[in-house]
Amino acid sequence: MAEEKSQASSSKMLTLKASDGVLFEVELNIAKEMKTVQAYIDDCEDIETIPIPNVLGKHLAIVIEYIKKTNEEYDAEFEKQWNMDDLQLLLLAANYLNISGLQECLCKAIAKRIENKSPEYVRKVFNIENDHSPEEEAKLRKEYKWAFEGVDKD
Amino acid sequence: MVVRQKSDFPDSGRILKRSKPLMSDSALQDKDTNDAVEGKDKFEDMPNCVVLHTLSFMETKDAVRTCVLSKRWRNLWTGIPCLNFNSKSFSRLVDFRRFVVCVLSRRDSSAVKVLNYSRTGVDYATDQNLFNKVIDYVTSHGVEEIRVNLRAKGRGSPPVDIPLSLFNCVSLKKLLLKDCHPSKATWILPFEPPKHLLHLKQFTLDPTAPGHPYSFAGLANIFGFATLTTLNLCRLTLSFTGYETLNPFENCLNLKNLLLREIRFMLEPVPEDFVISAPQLNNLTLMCCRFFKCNLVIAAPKLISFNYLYAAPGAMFEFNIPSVHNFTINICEPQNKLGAPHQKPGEKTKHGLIKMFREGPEAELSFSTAVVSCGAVIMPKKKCPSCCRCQWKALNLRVGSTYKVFVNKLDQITAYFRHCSQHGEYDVLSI
Repeated sequence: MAEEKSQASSSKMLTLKASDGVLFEVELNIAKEMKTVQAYIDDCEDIETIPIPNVLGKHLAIVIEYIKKTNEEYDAEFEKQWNMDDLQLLLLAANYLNISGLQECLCKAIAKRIENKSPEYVRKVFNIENDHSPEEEAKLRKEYKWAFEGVDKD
Repeated sequence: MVVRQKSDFPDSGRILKRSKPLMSDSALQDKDTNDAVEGKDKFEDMPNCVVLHTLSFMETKDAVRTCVLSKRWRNLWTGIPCLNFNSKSFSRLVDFRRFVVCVLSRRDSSAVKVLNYSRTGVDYATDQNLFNKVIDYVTSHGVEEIRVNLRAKGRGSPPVDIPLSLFNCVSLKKLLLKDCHPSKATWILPFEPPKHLLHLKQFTLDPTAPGHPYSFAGLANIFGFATLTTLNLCRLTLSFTGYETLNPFENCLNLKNLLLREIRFMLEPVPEDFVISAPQLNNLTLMCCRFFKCNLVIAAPKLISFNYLYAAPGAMFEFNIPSVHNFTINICEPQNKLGAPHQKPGEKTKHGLIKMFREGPEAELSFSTAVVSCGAVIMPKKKCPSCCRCQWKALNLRVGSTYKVFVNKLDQITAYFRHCSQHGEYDVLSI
């Protein structure tokens, strides 16, 4: 074990196991960008396969690719490829894995897509159940009526 | 006042805590996990801190609208750590004012990390009272970054008083003032400068109308540049009332990066020497500056890179740097791009004198369309002990071939550098 530790850690490979069983072999320095994984490694040094229980294989692949390629240009184009569902699941993944750069990129992207939309649109896209009573909602809309001017038509 | 201490967003936001040490199969069967993965409630699964992070990227007006989405969202917006006020989103300025006042009064007590305040109006005057309210609020809520834009239609940059609360704000790190002319508020001034200076790391001043004159001393006096690591001054007209030498940054003890863009002096008086010397300065960029009749002296001892871009031709500068390590100089003149009327192709451009006095292991000089005068004009000062004993290891001189005159002088230039250093290897590339 001591010999293993003293070897250069950058060439060490780690296996990440997604929730649907898909396995990803990544370099240690890539995995370390996921602070959750880093904490895992710090706790149990001998580990070779780390389970990522709530991220699907397809999203973990995207996350790993992001970590490898991230730069200004890549980030600017990154979010355009994904639909809203994927963006949200990727954000959940980035949050769980604690990757601040990716989380920032995704939050920005989601904000951009909903910023001038109506509440109905946003509810649909985020799957939010409206538990306001009609009176409550009307009261809020009146109270903040200046916020509801100039919104995009659905 | 509530100020977030460590991380931006509290750790309690993590959805699933990692169980230790190894995940068992039973954990994988967790129902909530499966729901999240199947995508039933995606955003609804987001912890509040992530939702707030997302809402931070929207204008506050849009973020407030989320209050109707559901009971969970009703007061979520009141905790967004970023305030983005933009008057352009309102048809009338009076509505903008009401909106800002309403938000400030409804917001919860959590910290505001960033304020973006953009009030672009029809009038020349800005709403000083509203500005004060906003600054007072954010500075008492731990703000770290403030960006202000007060552009007035037509006339440019209105004057604005900076409230006392901004100067007393211990959390403020970055300040950007665009399209406004700041002055100190009329509060009771002690004779000496206030003991507490702004702990600014980054300061950018960018007014649109360059007519209003500033003095460096005045700016430093208002904002206190002692803690700055990054200073950007753009589009300023400076008034100079000193003697012959201007050395405005010598007291910026922490300044590492300096950008001077489109800076000019009022026609008269102009300093004879404009010295740029700050003890920790690493990166210096001068862009589109006109220092007509003024000699630019770069004397920052720890300078690593110097960019001199798109400047008016005929600039004169000299380097007076005791020791240079890994120093890059990049001088770039426009080729009739920026409309300088007196610049014709083929005209000899005397770009400056370069005096390198001491040793530097590695330096990269890149010139595109520039003429370097050297030879007899450059004589090391007698009192300099190590002159003519530079220990350049390598010198790459990239020469633009636009001007024939320059290309012909290559021999002179290389001879000069050989004279400076006995040990160097020279690589002269013509582009």
